[in-house]
Amino acid sequence: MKIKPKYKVRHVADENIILVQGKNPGDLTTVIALNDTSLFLWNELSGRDFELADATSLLQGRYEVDEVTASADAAKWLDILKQNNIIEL
Amino acid sequence: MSSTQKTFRFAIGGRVVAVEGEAASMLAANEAFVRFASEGKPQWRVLFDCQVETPPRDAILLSEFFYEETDSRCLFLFHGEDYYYSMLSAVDGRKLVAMHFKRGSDEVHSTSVNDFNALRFSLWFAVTMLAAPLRLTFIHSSAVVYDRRVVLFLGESGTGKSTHARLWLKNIEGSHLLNDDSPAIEVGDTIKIHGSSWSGKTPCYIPLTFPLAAVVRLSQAQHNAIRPLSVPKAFGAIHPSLPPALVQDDYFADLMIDIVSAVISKVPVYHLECLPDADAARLSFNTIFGK
Repeated sequence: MKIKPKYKVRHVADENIILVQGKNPGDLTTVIALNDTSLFLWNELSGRDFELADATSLLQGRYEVDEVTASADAAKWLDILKQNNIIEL
Repeated sequence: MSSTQKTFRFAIGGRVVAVEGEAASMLAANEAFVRFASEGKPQWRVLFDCQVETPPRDAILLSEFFYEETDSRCLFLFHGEDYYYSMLSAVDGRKLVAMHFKRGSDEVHSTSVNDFNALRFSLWFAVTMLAAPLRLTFIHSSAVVYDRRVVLFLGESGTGKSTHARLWLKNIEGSHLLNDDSPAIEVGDTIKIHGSSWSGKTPCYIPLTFPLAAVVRLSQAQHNAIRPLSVPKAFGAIHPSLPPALVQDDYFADLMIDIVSAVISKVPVYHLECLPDADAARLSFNTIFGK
């Protein structure tokens, strides 16, 4: 899977956010705020093909966490992106 | 002003728009535009009575929406650096107006337009394309002035922006309305709010500019409560109030995002859940101006 290239992280007033614009005029804008960990995964994985295991091992490499915790956190991160249609399979 | 006038100039945020063609005489006879009439050097030109090419077959549809005032369907397309806007009657499919704009240009070309409401809206659309590179655009809101600063009330149509603005005018001494639908917002060292020729159903055409004090997004509730919004929530509160057709296009979207980013870095943004009553006006006033 891949992060759709049209989505960019924007740095606004000390926050890192992604905007998900509705298709129709008048649709509300969804704003996803990234914490440091989410931003780390985003920066490492955008622009390339990846699987859940790649996100998991990135987290394990950076933080002192076991594989189960890292995999659960990576899955949570991925779910939010999928729910907002930011990931192409 | 003669009825055969071929040029009419009006200002938006101190920038002069020259409208050329038969449409000029319609503007010269309308209070909303006369109040903003200007003799200044034009920054932009909107040329009516032109031949406007139809979009190429592989042009991309950015936005399609219904415009009630003229009972018509509006289409906004782009192809490379070219943008095409048209308004088609929902009754018989007749083209009321078609416009073309090339990115980076200071001109919009348009067909002739006979209906004043079609002219009014398409001119608004033309100005949004021309002005965006200056971080100047329209923001769907009611703008109230107090102590020479502006508070913007935002919300979906029908949430009571105008009602809440009117509650300020009635209950907050020294407040007055600058615009009731589409003031212009300009981002620079400070955030400026300009009166405009477009004010929805309320004829409030005031050619003045004030700095922005705060933004308040409204929603109807059974109680009155106000809270400051975090950066992501503030972003989501303001972004949908900028010209919706433009944010579908990458080039314009980036300019609109710059504007929202500057606003939330510089002024507080609140969410007000409110009843249509005087207490709601006093609550938002006290919160913003600390009185």
